[in-house]
Amino acid sequence: MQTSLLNSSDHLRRAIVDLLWQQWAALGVSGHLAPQGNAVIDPEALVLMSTAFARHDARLFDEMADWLQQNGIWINVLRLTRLQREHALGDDTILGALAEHMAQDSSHTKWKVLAKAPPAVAEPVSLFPHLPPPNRTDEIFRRWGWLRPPVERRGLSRPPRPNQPASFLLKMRALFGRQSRAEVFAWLLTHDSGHPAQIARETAYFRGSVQNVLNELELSGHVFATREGREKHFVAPPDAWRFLLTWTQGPDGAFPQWVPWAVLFTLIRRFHDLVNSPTFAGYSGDLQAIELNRRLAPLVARLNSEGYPAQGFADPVAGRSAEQLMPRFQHLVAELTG
Amino acid sequence: MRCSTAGTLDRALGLLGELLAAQGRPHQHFVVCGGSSLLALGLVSRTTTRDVDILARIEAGGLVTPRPLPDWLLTGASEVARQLGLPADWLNDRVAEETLFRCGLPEGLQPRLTMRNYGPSLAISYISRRDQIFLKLHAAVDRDGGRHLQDLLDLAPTADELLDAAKWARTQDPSEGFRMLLGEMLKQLGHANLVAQL
Repeated sequence: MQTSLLNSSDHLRRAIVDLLWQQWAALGVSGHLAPQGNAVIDPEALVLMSTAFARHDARLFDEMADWLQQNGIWINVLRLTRLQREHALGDDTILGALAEHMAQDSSHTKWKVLAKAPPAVAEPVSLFPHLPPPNRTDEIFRRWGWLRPPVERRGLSRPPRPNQPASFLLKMRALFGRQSRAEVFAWLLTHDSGHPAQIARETAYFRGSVQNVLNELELSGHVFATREGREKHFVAPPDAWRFLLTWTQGPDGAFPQWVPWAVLFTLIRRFHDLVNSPTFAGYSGDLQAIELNRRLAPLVARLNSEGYPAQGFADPVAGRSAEQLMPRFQHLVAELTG
Repeated sequence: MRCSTAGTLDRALGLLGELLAAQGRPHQHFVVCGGSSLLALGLVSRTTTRDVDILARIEAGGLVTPRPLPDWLLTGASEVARQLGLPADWLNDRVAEETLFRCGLPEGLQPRLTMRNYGPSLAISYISRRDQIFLKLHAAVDRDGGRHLQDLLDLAPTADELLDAAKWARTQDPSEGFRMLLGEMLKQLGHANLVAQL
């Protein structure tokens, strides 16, 4: 890979780590300023993205593990599994090691589903590539192919704060439980209206369960449905639910922005991984552009279909080289970090 | 519709070969005729063509029909087209009509091929000047002259070459109508004396 692209890639990785720090801080991780933005965090997408990038900052990784140990009940493991299956966003082996640690605590037994089968590992590698090899290693991580010092819980993480837009989804889970109902309702409050298939796709739940939840919500008399052709569209009138906006005063407060984090994170990870792959570096510029388009275009199309206005991705990625796309990704991550 | 120069075609085939190698596809060896073949071998004065005409595939040392082209090859060609701004059908098997294989390609075509490798997964063999004359004469008669006639004039065939080509073309279409059109074409090319030998 060209030196300039390598440098830009390092810069992008640092920016991604900063973004992850901000989101974890918003959820209660210590040691970093929480964001002031208006975007709702997707906790499962955040966990998955962190398994891929937090290893580039050992402190972030351990703070995340600490938060999960204390607050892991707020993570929907089934949704996390579904997101991972759909997007291959996280690192399965790091997720497995984290899950095995979690499952040692009786309040996190649901995490066992992610810790079933450590891979056959010939030679474990360092989890934190920027640090020297550890003298003592964590046995669970070693089984999953990673060398790191034994995990120690600092216990400094706080529970999610409900009085900020970033943790709106966790606030809804606290109200409605850790099932699709919380996401469906959060989605309704952050959009004008939507139909079951669209809401299911964007919340990563099955259409049938979303349809059932929407029908039940309609029966409450606080959510309404209209027919557009064969589709039933559901609306949660925002004025009736403004009391949930505990971070703002007055009648003009708006519900936070729903961001398709899983798709965005997958887009960013795919680009990062491609430009850092030695195989990709060996391709001609034209083949690199084809490969980038093949891997990224479906995600960009999906972002557009979900109405997410990602700056710099309005026009197609076809024909663009890694050098041409790098500034767009740096800008995107900076924009998401706020 | 954008036309391609010899350089663009070389880049397109090189990129397709690289793409197939990156995807680990099985080795493909095609026989190509038409404008791209003429350009690749520098046989005519024209400098552009629209497409790469796949005439045959070489399998187990013999020529076979290339149809159907594998889906993954067409997908790869389409990605190359998008990347280089070529027509979507820049690589096609339109000329590889069934009758060509049923009635027979020009005798001795295969040993006269000029092969070029485009990476480890793609080889292209271009047909010779003599075989171009055969196919171009047939195409010029069959499709009423046009660029095929111009290519034929550029190839400047001798009387013997034209007669051999005309005899081969008759094997593709033995009808009386075709014989008459072939005669007219030979007259147009300044070889009226050959008509009686058809």
